Amino acid sequence: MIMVKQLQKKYGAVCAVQEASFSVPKGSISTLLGGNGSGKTTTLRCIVGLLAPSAGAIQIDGIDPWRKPAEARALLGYFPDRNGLYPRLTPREHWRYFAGLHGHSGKALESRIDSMVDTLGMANLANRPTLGFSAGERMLVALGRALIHAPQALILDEPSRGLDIENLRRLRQVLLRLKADGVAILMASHVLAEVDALSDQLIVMAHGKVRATGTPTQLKQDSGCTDLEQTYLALTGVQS
Amino acid sequence: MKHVAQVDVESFAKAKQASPSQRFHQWFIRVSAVFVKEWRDTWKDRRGTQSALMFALLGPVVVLMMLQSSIDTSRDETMPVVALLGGELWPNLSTQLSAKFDVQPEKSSTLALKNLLADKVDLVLTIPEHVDSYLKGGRTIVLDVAVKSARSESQKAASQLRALLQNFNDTAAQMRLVAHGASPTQMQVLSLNVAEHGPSARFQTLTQVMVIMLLMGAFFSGMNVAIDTTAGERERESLEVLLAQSTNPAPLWLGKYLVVLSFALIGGALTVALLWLGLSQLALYELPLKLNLSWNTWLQIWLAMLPFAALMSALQMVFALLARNYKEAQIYLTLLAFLPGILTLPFAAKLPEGLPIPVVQETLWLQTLLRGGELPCLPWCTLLAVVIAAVTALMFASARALRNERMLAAS
Repeated sequence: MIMVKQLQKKYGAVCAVQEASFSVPKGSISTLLGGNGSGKTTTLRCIVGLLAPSAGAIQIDGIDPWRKPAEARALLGYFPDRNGLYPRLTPREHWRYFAGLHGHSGKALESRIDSMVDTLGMANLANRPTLGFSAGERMLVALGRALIHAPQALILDEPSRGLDIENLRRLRQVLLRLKADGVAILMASHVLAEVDALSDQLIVMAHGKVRATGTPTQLKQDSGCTDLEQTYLALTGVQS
Repeated sequence: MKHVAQVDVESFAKAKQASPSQRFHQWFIRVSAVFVKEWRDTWKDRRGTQSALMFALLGPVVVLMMLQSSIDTSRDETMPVVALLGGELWPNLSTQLSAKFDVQPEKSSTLALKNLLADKVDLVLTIPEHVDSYLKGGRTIVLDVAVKSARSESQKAASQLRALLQNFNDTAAQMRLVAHGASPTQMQVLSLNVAEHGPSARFQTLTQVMVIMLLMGAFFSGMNVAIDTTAGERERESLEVLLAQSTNPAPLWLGKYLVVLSFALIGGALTVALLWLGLSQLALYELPLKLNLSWNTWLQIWLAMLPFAALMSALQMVFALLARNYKEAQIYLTLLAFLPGILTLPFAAKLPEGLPIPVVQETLWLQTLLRGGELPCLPWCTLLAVVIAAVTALMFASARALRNERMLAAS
């Protein structure tokens, strides 16, 4: 579903991403694991078509997101690292707006919004302005926004940041449902417990390069470590 | 929990299979979605809405206060109060005085002076009892005038009285000479025939102020909305997710622009309506100006403002889009409020009439309309077409800028 081949992104003389290659098949969860400044967000922005790759190729179901952004983004749901919610709008109004940007309207859209309210368990919050929402509630609104146009792939940048245990569990449930529905999920995350529990594939990044790709179990075995933290440190060369 | 991606996906996903003939409809849906969202968001922001329409409400109040002040000044100027002692002795002079002064006949000089010191009258003029015999004898009559030195109104009234009495004296002297056989034409060395053309300087200033208030009412009503829908997206950190949707930035820009334009036109309409209502309550007949107060004229005034509002709203969007945050956008747009006037108005009089130059042409039309003229239909349509072309160009330039990754890097 998502194919990244020899991706390179430069900002002047600084190379943020170097020769990154990986793919995300349908019905799977892949995680970009890396420290701050490792190139995760830049990679995700290139995949969404917000940044132009300096070299390499990206395809979303065969579509180049930089050359045909509208077509590619119709297949993508995007959850950026900053929620970017409108404090005066309700969750329903957010979802209606973003579905409208994808060209959806009418009864089908309203039915979809009702379903989203049920799915995310937001019946009590759906008609309240998002000003004053907790981090978990804001995450749910942003997740609904990314899903409202029924995308085939979901890109999430640090979705679990600032979430409590209950909301982490809710996020995990939603992502597993999406995976079961055949959605290709690519996320960037720091929360190793989440990554270990959810990921079918780990893409370990450091200094803009992909250091290793594989299942969590594979990577642990290859590195000879028993837990993911040690595996990550070993693969990135931060600590032996 | 229901399945997220399976719920209604089939019927919902059909919308994605839009044929080329439905693309316009899809474009319309996107513009409508942005318009409805921005309108709702702006309307919910009560402080923002109030500040957006503040100038439209306060501008007319300032103009009306200026006009009322002019009316008051005009009243003060034309009717100084004179306490007249012995007016019945010289009815001819009393009549002359009544034309320029509010004459209050008095019997007691003590009471008249008391009123002067109490600022109830501006002057006390005393006609002596022997006036009739002096007139008949052809002798000089001395009139006593009491002035309150510390009061400027009193000094001003004294100057006016001096001028009036000088004229009266000249006429009376001529009549005496005519009575003694002199020819009236020989006594008249020169004569002035002054004809006034065009509006007075004060009227011109007042109409210019009204024109500026009308245009600024439209400008400032859209300004806050333009900032909130562009620089505000950056400040809220919502620009990234907005640009990540499957829409070209052009409908995004157009939807936002239409909301800014709506507020500009509503603000302009409020300014027009308040001026119309306020002016109809003022005693404008006391001023040397003739304003056209028919509803038809004020509708034309609003129409004349339309091309200005359309262009300025687009420029506000572009300038605010270039700003990194709300404050920076406010600085840019405040400069924009003054730049068109500074750059274009000094040349307005030198430009050939009827050229479709935005801002200049609307200014000239508004002045003409306030003086009782009509809005020319064809030039107005031409200017509107020019403005629509300019707005379209700005829309595509902005859409191109929004596609640039630097736009995201700056947020």
